[in-house]
Amino acid sequence: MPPADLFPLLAPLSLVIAGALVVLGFEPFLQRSAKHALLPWLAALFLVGAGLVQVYAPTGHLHGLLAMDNARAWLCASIIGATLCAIAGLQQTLSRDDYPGGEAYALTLFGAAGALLMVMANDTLALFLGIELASLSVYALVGLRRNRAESNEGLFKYFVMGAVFSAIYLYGAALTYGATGGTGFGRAVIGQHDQLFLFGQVLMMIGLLFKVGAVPFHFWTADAYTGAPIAVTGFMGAVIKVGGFAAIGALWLAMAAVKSGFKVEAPLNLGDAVTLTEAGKSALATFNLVFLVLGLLSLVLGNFSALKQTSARRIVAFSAVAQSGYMLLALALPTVGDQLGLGPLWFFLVAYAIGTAGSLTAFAAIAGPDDAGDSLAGLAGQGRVQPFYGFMLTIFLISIAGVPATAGFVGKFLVFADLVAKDKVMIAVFAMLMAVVGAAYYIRMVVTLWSAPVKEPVRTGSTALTTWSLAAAAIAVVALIGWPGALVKPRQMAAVAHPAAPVAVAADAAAQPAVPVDHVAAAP
Amino acid sequence: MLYALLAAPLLAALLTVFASGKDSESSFRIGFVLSLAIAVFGSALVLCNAGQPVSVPWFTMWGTSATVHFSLGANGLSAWLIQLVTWLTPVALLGSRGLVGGRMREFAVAILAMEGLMIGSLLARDLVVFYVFYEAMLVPMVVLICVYGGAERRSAALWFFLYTMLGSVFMLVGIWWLADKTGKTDIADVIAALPALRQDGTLGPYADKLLFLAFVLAFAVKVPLVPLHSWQARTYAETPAGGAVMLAGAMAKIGIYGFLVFVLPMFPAQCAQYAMVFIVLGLIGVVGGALAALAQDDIKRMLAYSSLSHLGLVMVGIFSFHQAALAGVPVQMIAHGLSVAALFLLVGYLEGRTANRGIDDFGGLAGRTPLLAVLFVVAALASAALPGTGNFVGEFLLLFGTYAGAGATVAVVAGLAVILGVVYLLRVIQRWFYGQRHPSLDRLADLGAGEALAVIPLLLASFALGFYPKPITAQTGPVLEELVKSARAANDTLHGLKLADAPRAPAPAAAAPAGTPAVAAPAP
Repeated sequence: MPPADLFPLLAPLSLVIAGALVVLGFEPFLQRSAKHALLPWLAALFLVGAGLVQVYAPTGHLHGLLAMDNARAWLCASIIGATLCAIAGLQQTLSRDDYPGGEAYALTLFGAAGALLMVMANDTLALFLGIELASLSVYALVGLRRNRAESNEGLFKYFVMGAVFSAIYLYGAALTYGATGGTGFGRAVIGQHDQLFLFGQVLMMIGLLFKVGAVPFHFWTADAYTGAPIAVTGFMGAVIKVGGFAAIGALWLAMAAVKSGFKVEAPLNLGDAVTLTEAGKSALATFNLVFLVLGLLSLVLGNFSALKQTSARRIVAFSAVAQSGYMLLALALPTVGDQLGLGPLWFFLVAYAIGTAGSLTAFAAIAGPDDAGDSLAGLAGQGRVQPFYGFMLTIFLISIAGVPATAGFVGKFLVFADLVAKDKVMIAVFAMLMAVVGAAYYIRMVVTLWSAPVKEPVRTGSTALTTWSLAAAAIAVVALIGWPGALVKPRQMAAVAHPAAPVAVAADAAAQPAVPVDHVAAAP
Repeated sequence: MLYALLAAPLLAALLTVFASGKDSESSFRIGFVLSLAIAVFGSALVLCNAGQPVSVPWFTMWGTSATVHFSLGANGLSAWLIQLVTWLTPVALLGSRGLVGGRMREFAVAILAMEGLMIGSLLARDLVVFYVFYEAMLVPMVVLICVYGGAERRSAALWFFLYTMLGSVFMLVGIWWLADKTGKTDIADVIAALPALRQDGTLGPYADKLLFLAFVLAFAVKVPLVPLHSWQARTYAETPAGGAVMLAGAMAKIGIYGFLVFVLPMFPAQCAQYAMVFIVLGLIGVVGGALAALAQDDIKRMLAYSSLSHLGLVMVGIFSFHQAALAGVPVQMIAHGLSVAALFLLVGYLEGRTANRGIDDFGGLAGRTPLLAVLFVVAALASAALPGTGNFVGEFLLLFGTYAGAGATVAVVAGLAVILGVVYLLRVIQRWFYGQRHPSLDRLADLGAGEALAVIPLLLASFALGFYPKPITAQTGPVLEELVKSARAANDTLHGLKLADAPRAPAPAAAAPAGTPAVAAPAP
């Protein structure tokens, strides 16, 4: 990956932050009603601009701190799209409830900027900056309804836990710095500090697994998701998970490269596959096992807990835990073959982000004042009185459930097919069975939506932005199945780096062959 | 041509959404005219062999060398089943005009979407493409049941979806496994590659059996085959008449199509080995279904069990591997599709008028609604295989082939079903149309012109088929022979017979015109 110029690389991020600042600057000078009429459109304008710029953003890295490549560009685009849906949903919610302030829009944009940083980060500190920017904004958004007890409860739990796990992450980053002498990902271990390095990586992973809500760090999800307004639930579910898994994936690839004896000179391309050596495989075996076990646990706990819920937000919360399970399984090392590539994970994430943000925005629109219709009973029959939202919600829900012909199906398809190719057939079978359990509660929502007798439509807020953003998201969910190859390049076409010589003791720092991993920056 | 045929119903659905607004009558007109146009267009498949295979690369599966192609192709078998689908669609729309009231738009959209997805699964020449359509067609069906179904529609829709999805997930894992091991997903290529996999031990006997089971399960649920039939009565009972036309008339046939196109050529040895199991299960369905139909007081449940009985006979015929039975399979599939669609429509008219569908709810209708009575009697006799109808030709060929291929006992037991079929249908005719009429039924209106027009073509087609089944047998015969060749050979070897000595009957398909492209030629 070549170095890139500062401004073009950061242009989408800068536009999002500029949008946040402009919204924040205008907010005090507007009437209460004008806030919800004007600010979301302003935010949407900046987001659409950021999305357009993202399409033309160059690939490359910035002093090894931040990087942009094909997979990262797609993830960033999905974050921007999910944020657009969230802004539309917030406009619905806040204008309907006559909320006395417009800072939520700015906070959402700041949160999106944090998630973009998390995706682009190739450095422990840059990543920390992104985590904190995203988390702090989301803490405030969760507590948006200051007078509601469950909102305060969710905010408090999430904030305290989040602070603790941020500290754990930071400690891990410090240990990694001590072991490698630098803050970048994929740096070689100095001297005999291998254990220190591994411990640091474990702590960093724990911090990130908390952010994505994987078992056993999932206990905050139900409360935080339920306390937040529905539109915010969709935002945090989609955006934080994209950022968190992008960071986990980048760390994991870098670790695999280091342990397999590569010298990583430039940030790794997230779409690339790393050729594992036997030494690398054995060094990562424990991590791999932990990912698999946590993934399976997340699937079981998340899906079966969601099955019992009647509140739509709690269903989404537990299903988010289950979805982290699928994503963790995508990290598994191959049993046969020696290629570790995360392409299926990136596609899964993009599909998940759009589906989640879209479904909860549609749901925010039909949940009624104060999100009072946040239950299966409240949802019942709304598809018949508001066919547009019903239709949109159906598309997004079946996409998250993994039913064709939607992007969510292709995401699951790629992840599980990859598992089968890695010779983990039984895990794939188990995960498919869990997907059927998951489909049970998603389809139950669809069935509830359409089957109850017609009743009064609930009051909705301003709808133009919601209509447009939902339609765009639905088209994306259906259109993405056409060209999965545009996003996920197959492994054979990816730059595969081979170590120059077989490395016997990859864990030993002395045995690092000086071969650059990157095909572009290769200068032996 | 094939892409156009696949896209046409989906585009028609979109057009119906946008063009008709809230006006139910205009939705109906657009949907009906478009579906008729599609049916006329689609008849080119059987009239001039227009099903030239087409193929474009779709995506390469991560971790394997398999590139999924979006490839479509038609042969005699799929072409005729597509005729069934495309011609039943306008019938379903016309027959539901009075039933769905003001919600015609959603109904037409769901029916057209289902038509497109069914055509897709019949045209698919790639395992992945087939699976996508095979699963996706559940979604419009679920929405249809939810919106227009009976009192128990919620649980029926959920049950239907989960049951069928659970059946097919194992097949998906099987597809991944095959894609990984063979590096291909094209059906013909996979079939050609399988013997080599068995030879070199990649596909051991145990894995072979599991793979076989996975594919059998997916299709046995859809047909349904006996232990997996419990979704059927529930779902049929709650499905609106127009939906039942598509579900019972066409969708169940795709399960049988799956057996013919996937299970038989892919697993000839297992098919031969377990042929008796399938014959016994089929017989249980034939006799048990007929007996259960006799015991129902809900006419829709009765029709569901009657379908179970008729399709059980088809399964028995397939696994007798006899040429005559195989010639009867497509005839019976289409004839049963026509007669069961007519019966469901007529029951739907009565249900729409009185909100009742119990066998004891009506009496003496012959005097009040003569047109309904005549059509019902004719449809019932067609369903009971009156000579002169397509059902007679189908059942006769099936029973004859079963007798020759699987022995007299099997044929005698299966023949019972024909008699029982007459009994339960005559029971309904006796109760409903003769005897004492309850005064509340005195104002029951007879069928309108549109309602009768939806049913009459079905019955005429059934009679046409009864007198001249040659077009179907001639075009499907060579295809079926090709599909069943290897399984029959395996069966003959298993039973110690030489191929040349195998019992053969003079089949109507003997002088088939050339030009039907073979689907599944095993590698020489």
